[in-house]
Amino acid sequence: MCNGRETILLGTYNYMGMTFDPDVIEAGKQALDDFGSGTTGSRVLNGTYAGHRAVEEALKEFYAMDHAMVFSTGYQANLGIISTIAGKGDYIVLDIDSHASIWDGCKMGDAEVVPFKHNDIVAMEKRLKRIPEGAGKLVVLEGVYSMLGDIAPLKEMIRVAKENGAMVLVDEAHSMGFIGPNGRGVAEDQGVLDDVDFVIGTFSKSVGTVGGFCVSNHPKFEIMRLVCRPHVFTASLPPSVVATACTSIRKLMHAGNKRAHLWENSKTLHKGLRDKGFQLGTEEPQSAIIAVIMPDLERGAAMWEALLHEGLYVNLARPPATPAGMTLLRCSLCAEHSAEQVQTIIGMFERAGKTVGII
Amino acid sequence: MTDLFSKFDPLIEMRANLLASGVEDPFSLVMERFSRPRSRCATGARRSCWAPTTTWG
Repeated sequence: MCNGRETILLGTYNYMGMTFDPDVIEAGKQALDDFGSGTTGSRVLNGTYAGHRAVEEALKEFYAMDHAMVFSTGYQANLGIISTIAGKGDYIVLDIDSHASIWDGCKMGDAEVVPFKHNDIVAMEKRLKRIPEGAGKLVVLEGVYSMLGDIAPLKEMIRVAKENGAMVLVDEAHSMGFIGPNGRGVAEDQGVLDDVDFVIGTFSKSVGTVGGFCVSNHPKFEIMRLVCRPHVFTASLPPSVVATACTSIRKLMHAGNKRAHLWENSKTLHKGLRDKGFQLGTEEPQSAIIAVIMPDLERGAAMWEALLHEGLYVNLARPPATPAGMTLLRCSLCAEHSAEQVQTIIGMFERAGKTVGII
Repeated sequence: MTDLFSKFDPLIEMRANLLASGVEDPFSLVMERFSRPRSRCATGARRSCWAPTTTWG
């Protein structure tokens, strides 16, 4: 319910619909009973409970990687890993459309920051080749870029990064659980997950709770637990949160049918909106995010309100969060949306679009 | 490829030496069960009374 009206939620990032999964909820309740409401401590002091280790084991299995480290938020995962591994004298080469947490991680670490045009492999390579020989290099990419819902050409970008001696970090926040044969993200889908040095992710999207993580095969990775300030100097996640995350991640390992249904939803909505005359952020559906481009902020806000009156919630996104000064209505689909609901959503967009004069 | 972790090598060595002395790692203790406030079973079956939780009340 929103404003007293039944509302379809199309802007939650709850891609796999895990927030009301009965097993997930039960795990959280049990952990509250067994371990209390919070840890009141840092992971390196009194804040590592059995549940924190259990969710890290689940992540290692999910990604088939050697190391996993959980943070209190996804923002802190990027902030911590990037600022810790790339410090003064190192270079970070990153996509200009990177998430704020990536930019903030760069700033905190004091490395030289070298941005390149969005998804432009040639521009990325040019910048890598200009970095002084012997300097530490980290390339930071995202699997899915959350504003337009487009994916990165990771296969080519990672090849270029490795050819130029860089380590690679990929943020798979918007692809985990959904994209790739096992839901490991765009790197898995493009067959290059083994070449990624660090995968960053979040529990606040497909996993359906809150928290962040990094997984890696780097043999020295465990030292991060002691040197990463956003990991050390904050309280650990409550036991109920790590219990829900652990249960959710283990269920996502076997969620092939849900992934297939979510892809169907994404394809149906993309085609439906395009057929109605809306301008979309991508030519083809590339993720569970469908971005509808608005002509300006005023009509974007009017359209957002008209949709809410129809009974549909989407995200209104505007600069500086959006690229190229765009105003967007950002739709994020859920595996729990039925095929019928997706058709209803298309109808709501059509009526609202005509009311506002966008189509 | 330049290893961005090389800056941590001295700390990694220090930690390895500490653990090699046989001391339990003081920074990765796992709280396995909880029986009542400020009294928890930590590693193994040992019951531990807790002072440093900052749960003042």
